Amino acid sequence: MDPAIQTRDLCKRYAGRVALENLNLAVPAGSVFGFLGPNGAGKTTTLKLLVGLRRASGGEAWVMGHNVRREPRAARSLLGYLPESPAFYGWMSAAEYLRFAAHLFGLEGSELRLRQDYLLDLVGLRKARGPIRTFSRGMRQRLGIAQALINNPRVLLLDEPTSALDPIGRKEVLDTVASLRGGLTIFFSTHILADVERVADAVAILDQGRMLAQESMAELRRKHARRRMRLTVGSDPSELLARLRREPWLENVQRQEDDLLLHVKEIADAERRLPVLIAELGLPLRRLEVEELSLEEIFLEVLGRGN
Amino acid sequence: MGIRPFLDKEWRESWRSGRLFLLSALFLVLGISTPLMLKFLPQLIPAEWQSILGLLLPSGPAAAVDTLFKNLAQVGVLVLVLVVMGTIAEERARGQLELVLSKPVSVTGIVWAKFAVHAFAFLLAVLCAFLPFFAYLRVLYPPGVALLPLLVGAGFFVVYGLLVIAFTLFASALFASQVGAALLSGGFFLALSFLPNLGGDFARLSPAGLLAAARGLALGAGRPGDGLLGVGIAVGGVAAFLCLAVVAMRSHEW
Repeated sequence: MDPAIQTRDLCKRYAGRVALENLNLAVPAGSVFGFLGPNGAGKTTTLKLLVGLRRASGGEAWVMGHNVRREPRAARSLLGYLPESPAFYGWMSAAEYLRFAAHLFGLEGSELRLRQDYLLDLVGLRKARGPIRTFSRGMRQRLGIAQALINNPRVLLLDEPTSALDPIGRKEVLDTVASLRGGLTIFFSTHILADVERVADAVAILDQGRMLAQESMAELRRKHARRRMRLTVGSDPSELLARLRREPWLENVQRQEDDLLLHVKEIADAERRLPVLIAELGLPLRRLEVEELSLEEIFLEVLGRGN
Repeated sequence: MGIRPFLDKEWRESWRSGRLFLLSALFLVLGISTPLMLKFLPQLIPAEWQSILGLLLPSGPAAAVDTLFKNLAQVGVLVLVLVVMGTIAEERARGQLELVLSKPVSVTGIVWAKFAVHAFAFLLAVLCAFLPFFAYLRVLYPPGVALLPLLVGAGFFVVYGLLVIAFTLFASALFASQVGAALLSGGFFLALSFLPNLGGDFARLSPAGLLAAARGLALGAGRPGDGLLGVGIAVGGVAAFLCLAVVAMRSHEW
């Protein structure tokens, strides 16, 4: 299947400063794709290039097969976009703004009313009667998602959709994103790793305009699994420590209070040999578990800022 | 997508913000107060004071027409610039246009819709000035002035106002700040109003020369043909500045 979003050597320079360097991205259709990176990594620039709000200094980008530079209207008609801080006409109500946005896509009559009502229900703004200027940040963000969905887009681009929200607002927005899974491709930029962990199927990691990784979440975890095990025995582990240091499958071992933290070369060898060693020394086994790396640790490792 | 959704939005915004009536209210005040002031000010200020202060208070319908055009060309145009200057710059600075331009829309539609609604508000305001002015003039200085020439003169002033709107929209599209737009517009109209002082063809052909032609027409002293070339140039200027506004918006990164 063709990717929903594709870029080839996409570049953006501002007065000599490189904001984005040869970005080659392929976002699978139907996926929830997290675009991760620290502040200033080039995430917003990438999104704006995809929407056609900025001009690339080099390279090309496609949304559902439409070149965003040569066919901007065709590309925009298939996507929905939510900027980091969406700015609406404050004097309009939520329903009025959705009608306005719908008219921009040529929606009219009953089709418009059905879509408007569905989206107001989806984002929980059906009862919000006042002008948008009276809305909380969370309400604005949810309205932002609704306006981005008004044309029933094939691709939804969300720029830091939760970064300015309190925990309740964040949960509401993530719940909405999760409820959309499967129907369309969702490409969202963020620096909040917990959000990616919660909703994304795949990620790309960007730093200083360069893409450092692009994987499915499962593949990323598999590649960066550090083969770390935590072992607790019921008595003095000194003898065990000495025996462990002679084992070829062990990289190193650290003592952390009552626990031993083992970094192993081959997890399968460790799983096979460890119980044997413990049994040979007659030690009571309290705990033996394989520890997974958190996304934060993987992120820092990819960025080269891990321990 | 064409101009209709933007026209609808601009119209509702003008209506709800009261912007549609702001200029009309000001022009109404000018239209009513000008003949009243000219009629009653000489009676309110004793003749001795007038001679001590060296005041030469004009009177009569011709002076009233002259004063109205001067007031509208100065105060009216200044307020028009203030009303229009933020139209694009403010929406750009706030990020409202970014969201709109993320949809498959035409920048031309946005610019023309803004122009159309401002033009309508200005036309309404001019009517609010000239119709009561005509009525008061008939009462205060019977038989007043003829309606048709006055309206043709007002029409010339409308054309001048459309040029003001188009240029200010261009300035608003060029700058991300209202102040920048206001300064550029102010500078342009200062230069424009200076052109007729150069005399000759400048006085006849410059858009600001339209105001003199409009005054002459309103007093029945001129012929409609006097200002037609100026009207043509002003209309051409309107089209050119609106196109430039579109180009300026397209050249921005959002």
